Amino acid sequence: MAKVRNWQLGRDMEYPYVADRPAKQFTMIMDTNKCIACQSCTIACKSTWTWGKGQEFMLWNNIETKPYGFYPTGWDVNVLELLGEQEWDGDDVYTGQTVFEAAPAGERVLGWAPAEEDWSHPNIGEDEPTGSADETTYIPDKPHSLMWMYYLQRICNHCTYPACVAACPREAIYKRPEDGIVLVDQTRCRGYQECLTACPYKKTMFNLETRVSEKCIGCYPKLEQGLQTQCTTACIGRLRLTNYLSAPDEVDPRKPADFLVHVRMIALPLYPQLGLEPNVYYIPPVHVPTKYLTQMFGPGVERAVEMYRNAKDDPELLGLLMLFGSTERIWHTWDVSDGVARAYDEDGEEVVAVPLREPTFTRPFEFATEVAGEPVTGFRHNT
Amino acid sequence: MTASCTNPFLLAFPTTPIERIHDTRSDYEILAGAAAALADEIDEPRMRAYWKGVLDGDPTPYLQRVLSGSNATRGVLFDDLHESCKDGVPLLMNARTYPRHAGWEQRQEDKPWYTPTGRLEFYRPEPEWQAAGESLPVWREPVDATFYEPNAILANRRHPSINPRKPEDYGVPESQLDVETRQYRNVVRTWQELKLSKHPLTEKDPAYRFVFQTPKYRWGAHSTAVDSDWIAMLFGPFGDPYRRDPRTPWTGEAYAELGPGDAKELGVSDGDYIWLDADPEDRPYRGASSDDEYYDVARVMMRVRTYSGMPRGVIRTWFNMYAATPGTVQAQKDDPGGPAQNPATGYVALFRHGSHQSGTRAYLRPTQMTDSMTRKAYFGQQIGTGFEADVHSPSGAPKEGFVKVEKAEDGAPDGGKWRPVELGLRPEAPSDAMKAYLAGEFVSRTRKEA
Amino acid sequence: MAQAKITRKDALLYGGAAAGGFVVGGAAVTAVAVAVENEKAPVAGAPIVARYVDGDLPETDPGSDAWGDAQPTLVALAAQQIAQPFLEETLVTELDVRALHNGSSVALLLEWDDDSVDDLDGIRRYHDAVAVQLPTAPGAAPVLTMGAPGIPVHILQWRATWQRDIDSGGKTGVDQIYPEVIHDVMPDDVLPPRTAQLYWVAREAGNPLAQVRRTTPVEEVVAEGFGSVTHLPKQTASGHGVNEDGRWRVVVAVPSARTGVGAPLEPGSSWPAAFAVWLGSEENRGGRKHIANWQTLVLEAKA
Repeated sequence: MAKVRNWQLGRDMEYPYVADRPAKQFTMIMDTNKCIACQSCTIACKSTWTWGKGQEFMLWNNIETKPYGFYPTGWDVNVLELLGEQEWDGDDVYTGQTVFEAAPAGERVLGWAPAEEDWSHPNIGEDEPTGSADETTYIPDKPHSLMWMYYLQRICNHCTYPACVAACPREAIYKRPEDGIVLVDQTRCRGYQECLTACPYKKTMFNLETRVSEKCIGCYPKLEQGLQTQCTTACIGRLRLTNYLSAPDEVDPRKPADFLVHVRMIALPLYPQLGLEPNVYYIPPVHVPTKYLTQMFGPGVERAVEMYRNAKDDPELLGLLMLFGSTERIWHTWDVSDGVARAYDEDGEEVVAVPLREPTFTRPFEFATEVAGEPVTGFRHNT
Repeated sequence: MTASCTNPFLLAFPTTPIERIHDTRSDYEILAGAAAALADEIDEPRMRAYWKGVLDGDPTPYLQRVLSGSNATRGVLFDDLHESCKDGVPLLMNARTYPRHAGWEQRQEDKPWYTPTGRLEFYRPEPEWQAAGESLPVWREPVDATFYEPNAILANRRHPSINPRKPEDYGVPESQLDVETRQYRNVVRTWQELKLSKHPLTEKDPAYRFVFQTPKYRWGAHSTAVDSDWIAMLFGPFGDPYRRDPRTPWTGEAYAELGPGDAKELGVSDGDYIWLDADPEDRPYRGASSDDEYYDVARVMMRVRTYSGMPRGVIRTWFNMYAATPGTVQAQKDDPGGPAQNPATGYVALFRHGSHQSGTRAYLRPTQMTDSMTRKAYFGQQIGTGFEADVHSPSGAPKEGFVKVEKAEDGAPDGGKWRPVELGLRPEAPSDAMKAYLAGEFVSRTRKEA
Repeated sequence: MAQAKITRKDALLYGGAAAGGFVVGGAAVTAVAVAVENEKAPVAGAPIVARYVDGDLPETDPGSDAWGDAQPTLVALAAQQIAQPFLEETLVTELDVRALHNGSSVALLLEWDDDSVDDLDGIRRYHDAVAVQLPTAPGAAPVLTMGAPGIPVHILQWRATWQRDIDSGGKTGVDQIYPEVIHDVMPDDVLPPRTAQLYWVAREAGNPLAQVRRTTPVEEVVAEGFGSVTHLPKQTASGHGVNEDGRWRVVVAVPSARTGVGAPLEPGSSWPAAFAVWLGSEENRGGRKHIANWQTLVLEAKA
């Protein structure tokens, strides 16, 4: 066991390998508030990567309704139950145990292996709220402590300290030094499924025909061409951003992910207490009880929700959020001026421009034009 | 080519370079082919000429006619649209404003509304509307989907403008409440009267006590929510491409949503199968008898999902699921454990038996069928009166009913409860861990002293 | 019986020592006293003596009468608890081993009780298997850690899944695991075969585990420590396994020459040999296995 720095926990922790941060880290930012669970991302991912026989159940990307949705069944309830009640010291330091520190004798990671049936019902719990409408559907309190639900967008977290890497007895899983993407070496894996037990997010999956583990590859063939992932570009809610995160001691506030994660701290990791330093970050939902959100995203949720509610008065942040889903290209910096947000590539060339407010245009009532050499006249009408 | 009045974009799906699979034809090629054959059969060359573009292999002229005939697309050349869409760039709909605001001309300018007076009208003076008691906007109970007397007009006191022709005026006794009569039955009730009334089915059999609604699934138009195995797998809680429960009709399955309180009273658990029955007078079909050959094709069986968001007494089933057919029901009889897929056609159902429409039917509303109503034309800015498809015509969407429910089978294939219920992950019987999870109790924060 | 485990401490202490004495790989055997009887009860702790056979070996026939001439040795099995991940419980305690050779090949018959045939790989569905471990070089037996850096061991592993791959002609996938599966369109329904195969990435990448078309149920690998198993480019092992009456009977055979792998298994030599057994139904796989300490394999000199 080595001592590694997990900035999300505000402390060092035990991990089987020494820390070796990649040159840059693939990250995805998800704005949970914009998701409608249409599963366009899921289908875009599946039709790109997991169409094969043996992958029928396999959703590298999935959307689940929280709190009753799970893929696989019960994944987060189970790992939280295994780990037991844990504690944060204020907002900064996690004083509980990680899945590495809590590993039982003979194991590298505290984990559980989903039963094969747990991979059925991938959209269980869809749209299901907490509470009950038996007596009334009128809910006066905010946030809705009685009835609430929201959608959680899930891909592999491409963790800084992956549990799948820790658990693989063959070192068949590795983290790419150039972008931090976690991959299963398809020639080296021998199908022991230790990663399925270890990964608390349950994002490694077993291919039933090729008998080895597979997982989200961060669409690396697209990234290598400077393009955002399939799930990002297929998102009709424009809630995702594929980008790169700097190491915590190299934060550059001009970069969008650094700005959201480290400067404004509006985007938070999923179950940081597990200790993997996951690299997908979530803008938490604004309508959900803080206690539940703290359990899921750590102690920064109140600050993040407040920041999000204030985004309409914060052009820099609003502009960045508006640029989500506006281009297939990966962009590197942005600015906002005259009501327009602009994204730039590494050379400072403009990639896309988006107005902060959709303008209204009015056309003349009557018009006359020419189509294929013929005059066309008519009038424009809305109703 | 596709567009809608609410979407600012006009799209053409570029012609695919891929050859058609197998010996298949588009709808319009089938129509044109049939017309051409008939033209030869009856020696009527105009029937062939009508489809010239299709028969010549170029449907562009028809698409151009649609573009040229529509206000918001006139001036667009189909070829330009097609070329642009090949590059992934749609054209804009040329409505008066972008984005489109409905009623903009009437609100911002002096254009008239499409009414006899040109103004917004909140009183309908036509005799048909007066006879129906609907000259003013009124609330009518649903024809079937109500706990109370169906189709009654709710009005708190006698109003000079709410004075409909009563059943007796048509020679029908007021007590006649059969489902055919009551769809055009005009009676006025106060809430004091109405709330004491009961649905006639409840009067006969108290088991009939659920309003049944079949709204469109939020991601579905027609059957698109279920038209591939992956989508069906994601359609609700019972998806499974491996059909581990061999009763499952496909990679997903139809379900009815009940509130947990109602489910408990019925002795039904999450994931169980139920039978659902509406008015036996006409559903699942007129004169149905349980020993009919097709009774188990028409009577609906579904899974139950207990859904905390359902109000008491209301059951919901989505509208967008492939119905059982004689072929699919027979297939599951011939091959127990197999899918509900007709081997002859490949059609696959999401129901083992029946469909959401086993419990619903369409109704005719007199005020949708007048000859005197002034209304806009379907195309363009013309104004006229009486029938106009999709504007002033009966919309016979069978969406609601009043039903009873009985348990059919356990949720687990070998008996017992559906596995997620057993695991304590469902609202019906949450485990201690699930309760702690819902309450966010797995993490606590100790506040540092300032 | 008492829980049997072989721990890291055991491996380090006794790694080079086989039960009953110090074994030196490749050592010449001058004389071995073996009682030749018709009905042989397995003898615990005895060396595994490979009788010399003049002619073909029953390399793919666990039911061959030829095995009747070989004396079975009872080999004790215990849960692997040397390297993580550990096997928690020992659920099979005995492996019966017998051996034959003909100067050009060595064949072993391995038998253990397992009333559950596990020959498909699925999610948390693992296969039955057995493996034989031999040093590659003459000398003292290496530590019991599947070799060590610079000290490779030679391993022959028979898998029930591979046996079924062969017996069924490759019908060992989704259709067998979930017979009620239903598909709309699969890649091989609509794509040219070469393109469709790309959807089986591990298979296409040449991972030997991912293949279903194969000629032998026995994989031949070398290893230099736990987790370092490396598939040999030239596969020479053969074998066959059957499960009858709740007992696996598996033949594993390999050419004596061991070209490119290690020192030849010469007649008249003696070698340390270790074994491992996996119970698929108990989720044994990889390091979660039953292992035996080094035994002595004696290759009878030619008559």
